[in-house]
Amino acid sequence: MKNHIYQKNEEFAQQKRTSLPQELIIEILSLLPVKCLVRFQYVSKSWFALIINDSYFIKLHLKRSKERTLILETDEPLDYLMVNFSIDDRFGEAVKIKHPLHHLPSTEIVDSCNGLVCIGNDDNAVCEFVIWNPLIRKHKKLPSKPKEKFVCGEYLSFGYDRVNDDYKVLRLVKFHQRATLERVREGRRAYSLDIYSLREHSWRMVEEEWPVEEPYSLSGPYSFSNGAFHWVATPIFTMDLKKKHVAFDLSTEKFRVHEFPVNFSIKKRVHFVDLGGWLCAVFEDLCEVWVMKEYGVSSSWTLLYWVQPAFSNLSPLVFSHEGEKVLTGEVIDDHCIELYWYDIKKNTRKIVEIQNMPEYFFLPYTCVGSTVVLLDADSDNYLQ
Amino acid sequence: MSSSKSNKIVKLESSDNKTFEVEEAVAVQSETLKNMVDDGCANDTIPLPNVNGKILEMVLGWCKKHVDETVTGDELNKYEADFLDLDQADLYGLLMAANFLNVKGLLDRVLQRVADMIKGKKPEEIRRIFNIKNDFTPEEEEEIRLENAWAFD
Repeated sequence: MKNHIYQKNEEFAQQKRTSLPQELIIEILSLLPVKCLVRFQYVSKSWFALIINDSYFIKLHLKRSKERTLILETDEPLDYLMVNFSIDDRFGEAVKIKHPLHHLPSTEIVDSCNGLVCIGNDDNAVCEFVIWNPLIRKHKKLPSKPKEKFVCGEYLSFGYDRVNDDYKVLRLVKFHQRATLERVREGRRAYSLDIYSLREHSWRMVEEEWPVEEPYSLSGPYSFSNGAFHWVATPIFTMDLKKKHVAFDLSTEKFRVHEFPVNFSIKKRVHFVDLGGWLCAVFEDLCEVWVMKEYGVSSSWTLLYWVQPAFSNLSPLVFSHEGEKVLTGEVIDDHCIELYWYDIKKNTRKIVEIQNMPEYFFLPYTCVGSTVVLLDADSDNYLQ
Repeated sequence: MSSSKSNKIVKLESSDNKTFEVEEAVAVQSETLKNMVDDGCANDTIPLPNVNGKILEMVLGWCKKHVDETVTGDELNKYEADFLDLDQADLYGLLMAANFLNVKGLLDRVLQRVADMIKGKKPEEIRRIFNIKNDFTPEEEEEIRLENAWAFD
């Protein structure tokens, strides 16, 4: 018996003498959930460098990641709720997490991209924003902006500029009519359009002009998809003009205006979402979701699915791993949300049960693909 | 040269001098062996000093199963699941062999299995498994641990 064990150990020792080549270590680590990677940072200095700093590894991990996180606002403004799940339908329990702007009375999730979440607050005299990775618990505060007066609408978008490997926040501010006239009289723009670049770590004005004539309203969330921000601009006060699809390319920082199919204009409230890398248009009243099959080609808009109208339907959040289901939900009773996987082909629903969900929780949901993208960031641990 | 592969046999020798004979169709599941066959280097016995007999037998078994047209999809799934039910030593050896021989389907499965296996482990265990030296000072280690204390519960 003893000899047998000794022999096995010898065999194992022999195998172990050859260390795993680096490319295999990279492959294995790229398959791990983020929490594991955070723990394995201190296995060795080379593992640390790989996990924290190696942008090839970080991008590979992001590409392969099936981990997702729901982030929900609740009626406690200090905390968000986080639910980790995977796109092959394994849901963890809801866990409270302190977000980096919890010293402020109210915050808003702008959007999430590549595992980073942009949170903002504009109630105060100063606009505060933070870019946060809730899974590695690190964040970076943006430089504050003094808040303008007489604002009648603030539109925020957050996304990734692939060409320059940069994350950007766009802020469009519209003013009340009198303030607008005053600004124009002073030779300034009628609206304010600023962009924050993570690489530059500063705000600057966007040179391009907003491409749609006033007056119009914008529908959000102001989705990031295919390298650009997208808005639906609906003309106010007139039924004759068609809705416009406005896109802002994050790399060139230029606007484009796309045509909508004719039937889109008669359908009522609509906004854009990104689903699995496709730009989708969600028609709220009809509960229809259309997908732009060929990005940038207006004639390629195709109906993806529609569900029975409920009191209020959620936008689709994410595709399942195989791509045949969509995670979405509806509001039932005041603030009580039921999440379900909707099977597009079979037109069936599978309700998602999550442990520890409080009775009341709010929209919006933001679905985050987890990653180990680190900025030159601060640890959440040091938040007061 | 005619491309009739059906009867050609490839001979392989493991690091511990065991020889194996397999049909070419089976052998070329390995990109490494396929390149040798295509380059005309597969006429004599191919020595594989990196792979021992036990592991080579496993790999060839996998390859045989994957060219067998009588095997159903379900049977193949079950085979693959059972196949990877190995102890750490064998898994490690299989990983190195699948990488060296470049058997893509097998390599992907083994990588996933290793990832699943190490998920819950502590860093000390990881070091033992992969034979990695801890080159952090105790102070450095403590700093990282403190900063990420939440990940260790």
